This record gives sequence, C-alpha cells and structure tokens, in this order.
Amino acid sequence: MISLPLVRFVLTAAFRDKLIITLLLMMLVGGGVSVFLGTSGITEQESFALVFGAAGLRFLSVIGIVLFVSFYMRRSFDTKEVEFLLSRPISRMTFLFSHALAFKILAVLVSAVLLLCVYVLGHPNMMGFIVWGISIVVENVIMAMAALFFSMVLSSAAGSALAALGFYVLCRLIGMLLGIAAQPAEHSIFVVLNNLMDVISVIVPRLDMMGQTSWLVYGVDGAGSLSLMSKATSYAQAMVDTLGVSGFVLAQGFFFTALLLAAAAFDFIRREF
Amino acid sequence: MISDVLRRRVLFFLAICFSLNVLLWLGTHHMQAKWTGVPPVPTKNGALAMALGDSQFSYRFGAMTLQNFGNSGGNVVAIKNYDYKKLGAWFWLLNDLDPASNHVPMLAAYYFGGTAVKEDIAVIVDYLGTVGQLPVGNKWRWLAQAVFLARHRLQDMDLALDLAYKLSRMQPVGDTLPIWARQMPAFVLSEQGEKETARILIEEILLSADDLHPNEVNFMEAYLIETLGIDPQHVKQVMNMRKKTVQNDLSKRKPTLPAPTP
Repeated sequence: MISLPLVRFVLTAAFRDKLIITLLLMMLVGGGVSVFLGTSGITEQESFALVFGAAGLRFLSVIGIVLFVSFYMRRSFDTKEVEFLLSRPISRMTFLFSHALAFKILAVLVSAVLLLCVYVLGHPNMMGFIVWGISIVVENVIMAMAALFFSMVLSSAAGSALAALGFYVLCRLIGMLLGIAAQPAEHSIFVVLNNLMDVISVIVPRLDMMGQTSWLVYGVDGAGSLSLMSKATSYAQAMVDTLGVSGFVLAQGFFFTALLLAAAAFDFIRREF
Repeated sequence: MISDVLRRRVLFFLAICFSLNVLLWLGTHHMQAKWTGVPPVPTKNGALAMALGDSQFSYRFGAMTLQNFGNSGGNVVAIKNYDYKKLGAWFWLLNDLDPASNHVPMLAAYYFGGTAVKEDIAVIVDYLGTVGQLPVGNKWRWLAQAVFLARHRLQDMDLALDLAYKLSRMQPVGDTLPIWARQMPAFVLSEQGEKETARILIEEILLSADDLHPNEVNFMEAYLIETLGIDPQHVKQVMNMRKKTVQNDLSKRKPTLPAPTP
C-alpha cells in the first residue's frame, strides 16, 4: 500500500519547496523574537521566553505544514500530476497512503526543529518537555492529515488551507466550547445548540488538551494534566486513569489520523478523472 | 518592447507616489496612538480564546501587557492615573490563569503598590493578601507585603493585624516560615515608622528566602537604596551577608502547584 519512491518524490518536492526552508528560518527568527520579548519581563524572563517561543512556534509550524500540504496537493491536481501517477502501476490507495506517509514524515521533521528551538530557548521542565514534544508531533501529524483531507475534498488551494486552519482553531477551542455547552441553558435554543456542539465535537480532536505550555514551566503534574467536567462518566474516569496524558495524546493521534485518512480515501475512490 | 515614453511616465508616477508618501510621513512620524487608560478586563474564557485555549500563554501575554500598560511607544503614565479597580480585575484574571507565577504579585507589590491613594492601596492589599495565603512555596512573602501596605499606607490597623495573624499561622508547603514572619503581629503593633518597617521587612526577606529570582533580589536592593534612602554601604553589607548565609537553590525557583481544578 506504500510506494517508497513516491514517498521520496514528495519529500524531495518538500525540500525543494521554499515554503519549508522559509518555515525553518522563520522558526529560528521566531525563537530569537521570543527571547527578546521574554527578557523585557521584570522577572521570570526564562519562563516568558519559553512560553512565547513554544506557543508561537507551535502555531507557526501548523501554518507551515497546512500551507505546504494544501498547495502541494492542489498543484498536483491542477498540473495533472495525479492523473499521470495514477496512469502508472500505482493504485489510488497507494497514491494516498504514500502521500500521507510523506506528509507525516514532514510533520515529524518540522516538529523536531520546533522542539530543538524550544529546548534551546529556556530550561523547560524535562518531563513536561517530553510530553509536550510528543503531543506537538501528534498535533502536527493530525494537522497534516487534516490538510490532506481538505485539499482532496476542496478544489481551491487557498480554500483548503483556510478550512484546515479553521479546523485547527476549532480543535484548540473545543474544550472551552464544550465547557460553555455544559452550563445550564437559559433558553430552549441554547439546549439545541449545546447538543449540536456535543455532536460536532465527535469529529474534532481535543488539541486543547495537548501541547499545554504550562507543562514546560511547571511539569505535567505541577500544571495539572487532565481533569474531568462535572458530567463526566465513569468511562471517562477510567480512560484518564488508564491512559494518562501520553496515552491519551497517542490514542487521539492514532484515531483521528486514521479517521481523516479514511475520509480522504472515501472521497478519492469516488472521484472521476 | 517598452517605449521610453512609458518608462518616463511610470518613473514620474513613482516619484509622485513617493512624494505623497513623504508628505504624509512629515505629519505622521510625530504621532502616536493615544493611551485610553487601563482597558476593560476580558473574561477568563475570552482571554483563553485569544490565546487559542493555551492558559499559560494567555497568562504570560496578559502579564506582559499589564507590565507595559501605558508605558510603551514613548508614553509614560503616572501611577496615580491608573484605574485601580480595572487593574485589580486584571490581577484576578491573571491569578486565575496561573496562580503559581510570581510576576504579577511582584508587579503589584513593588510597582503598582507605590501609589499614595488609599482606595488604590486597598486593591493591592486585597490582592496580595489573598495570593499570599496560597500555602505553596514562598507565596507567604506577598502576605507580608500586604501587611506592610495595610499598616503603613492604608493605616488600617485592624486589617494589618488580621493579615499578620494569618501570616503567623501559615504552614507553607515546601518552605519554612521564618521567625520574623511568625512574629509579624508584633511588628504591626510596634510603633516603628514606615521606612524602618519596610527596611526590616525587605532585609529579612533577603536574609532568609533561598529561592528568589535574581531580578527580584536586584529590585529589592535598588528599593532599599533609591526609595528608602538606606546607606548603600549598609545595603552592600546586607547583600554580602545574604551571599554568606543563603544558598540560592535554583531547583526551588520554579514553584509547583497542586493540579488546578477546571
């Protein structure tokens, strides 16, 4: 199901693309700006630099990955590269999964540069840094798959990039939205909206519970890792107890990556060239 | 083939545009955005949404904004011109986002605490008095600051005594309350002047706290010399004594809190 030459082809294209080089340079510049901003604090400058750098570079890496994947995929469709490759002995699934693997590798590489920058920026709590790092890798992989999905479904590169970034914002805010939805509703319309939000959240990964910069400053336990809302069931309690933070992060990464890939495959097999 | 006429026209148009830009710049480079006072405090959800749900980033961004309120881009705002009710709301919002950091308490105690308006001091005392009762690390020293402000700036003996008794009964987790803090009610009841009390308080913190950020130590040293007018030689002696008696432990510098509830 995986064509290694195709994976290498995509990765070569990525390294030749100026967007990736620009992204890496911007991460270095962003790290420098974070140190500059952090040192203007009257105290705890290391924490300021660390948090500004981690939060800023995290967002920057997602933007870079989404833009590259969206524009690369749309360009492949527009230049008939997809049709050319499919005319070779490569099945649609091989094409899709090879691209997915290449984008995942790319997401891991970008995350590695990000982690290196954040490690150099300050003196993060080591356990917190490890968990934060794992969750950032998973987050970037999820977003690469989300961008792949949107670029397969939507016909515009800008549109698919904006859709993927909108999805990212929703994923980061979903915890807050669910918290608001869990409040007693004052009006019947809010009951409907709250339930609607619950349904939508089924297909939205909880990125709000991943990559918390407080882990870098206080550690995972010191900052509080996962907690339960008042309506939480014993199933949720058992999940938190069994998985812990790292287990939750990895499980979420596996399930949502699989879901997005399956959705992209579903669309791709129905497409007519 | 581009004709010379077209080239000249484009060059002329460019020169016109540049000249217009210079005309605009002549006026604008002496302008700056007007500071309209302490902005209204967002809700916790609003602050979190602006930081895409990252509470620590939201805290650090808010704390840096608070530190620079009105004092950026060449503007300088006198302390008396701040709206302390709104400032207090900012303190509580940031405390909600990160109760472990000492940045905002330090800003409140040493900068915003410099106001001479009693109503404004009350806002600072209320904040520091609550933050200082967090039984983790060396948070108790903010309670000591609240006692000092209540006794000497607010002139509220009852409140100062109440806070002093709370301090004397504290059992900090991960830190030892020094003898002078246990005896705080006696400090309050003594007839020492404001400067003398402030001097004793700061010197005692310097000689007993072993997990202060270096910037905070520098801040205290400058406060003793510049604000309280203490002889620099005496302050130097205190700093030398601190170096000999206090082992600043880097590992203690980052406070760890029990997991906060959502």
